Amino acid sequence: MREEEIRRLIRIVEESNIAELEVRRWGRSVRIRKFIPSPTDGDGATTVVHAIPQQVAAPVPPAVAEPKPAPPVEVPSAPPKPAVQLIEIRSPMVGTFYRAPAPGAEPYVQVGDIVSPGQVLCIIEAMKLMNEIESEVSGRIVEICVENAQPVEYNQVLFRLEPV
Amino acid sequence: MFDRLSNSPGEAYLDPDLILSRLRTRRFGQPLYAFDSLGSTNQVCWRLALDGYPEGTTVIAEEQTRGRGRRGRTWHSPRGLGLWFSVLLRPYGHARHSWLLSLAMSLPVAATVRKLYGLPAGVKWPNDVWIRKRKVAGVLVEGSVSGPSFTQAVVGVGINVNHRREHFPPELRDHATSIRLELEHPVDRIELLVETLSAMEQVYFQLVRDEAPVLEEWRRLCTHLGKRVQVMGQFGTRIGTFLDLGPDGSIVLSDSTGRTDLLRPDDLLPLEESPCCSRSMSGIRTSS
Repeated sequence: MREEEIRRLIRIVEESNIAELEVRRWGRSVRIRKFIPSPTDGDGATTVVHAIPQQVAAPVPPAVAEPKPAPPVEVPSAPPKPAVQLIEIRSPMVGTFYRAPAPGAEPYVQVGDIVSPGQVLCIIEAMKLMNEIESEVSGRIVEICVENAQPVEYNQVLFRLEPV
Repeated sequence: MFDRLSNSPGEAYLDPDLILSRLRTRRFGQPLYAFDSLGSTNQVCWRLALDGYPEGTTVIAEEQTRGRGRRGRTWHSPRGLGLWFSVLLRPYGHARHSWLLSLAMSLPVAATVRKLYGLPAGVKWPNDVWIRKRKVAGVLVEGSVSGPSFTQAVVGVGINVNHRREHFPPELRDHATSIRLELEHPVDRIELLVETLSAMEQVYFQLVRDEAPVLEEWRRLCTHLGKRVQVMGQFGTRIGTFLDLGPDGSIVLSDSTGRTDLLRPDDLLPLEESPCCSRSMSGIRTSS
């Protein structure tokens, strides 16, 4: 949901007698809860509690982690580990997996390729909607887990990447 | 960068100034980029999306030389006869729900054809528009997903408007139709364009608020819901009754043995049609 829409919702809550408002759309929800001041507090304030994805069926790996509009948190750099932890790119939807933009075209990526954030990895077609799936991370592709033109389920692992 | 629109004397063309003067949308069609000839309006619109152009940006061409269909198929889009355009959207939804956009965007095209011309246009799963068992329009949506978010999409629409039968390649003549063929006279393409953009915008805004009325209207205008269909996919070919839309836009199919399955076919062929032309429009109000 866009910032101006969240601001508009905040205004609605502020100007009303309601204490909490939750708006859902397209699988996302935003809950706005009004801070009701006790006599010792100052002015009332409205806070966006969180925007949560609905129907998260399984733990989401870091590679596809939901961006949260929560206060920024310092992410400590991971201590070096002896074994390489692979990053899994999972399917964000149900559909058909395609490695190339069209039949006969070069695949977007091959095993061994180093990819960067924003780079297109594959297409998932759902209901004639061609979705280009972008990488959110940098890494070297070590495994492509789905055959071309095969159906994929929500959250199914599509690629495994080695961090670079 | 591209060939700008040029017209031959006396030829009714898609004059961008005229289109803008008649447009009654908040976002769709603004800004509008009109071209004489392009490879594909989706391709150019996608380039504008990557350059950060706003939601509603629309690209239209008199002719597409490489009009795109699904999976590398081509879309026949000859000069001056149809409407070939693409609209940039930024839905910011969860990718799991992106299929809704694809399903929904055939609806305003069918509704506009019904409203303007009284023709029995209906939607065919997943997102074609048919009149009397022939395809009059198609939609191709290309989206971009980053993590779980459906960030931007280009909705490409192709409508066969003023084609005569001989304008279609021989292999399409028994499967395609145009508004002109159905009405037996040509129509004003700009009127159809501005009305379609208005209806698309209304359906889109309704969809991002609440998809239920859009799905309800889709069912109402579906040409083959409750009818016998043939579906093709990884599972092979199946024939049965299309009972309803399932989750993720799949198909609930009941076969002659009474077995009911949830299928996600690659394609669907209606074997009989619903009399959707007799049903009234309701749910989503198109502008009057």
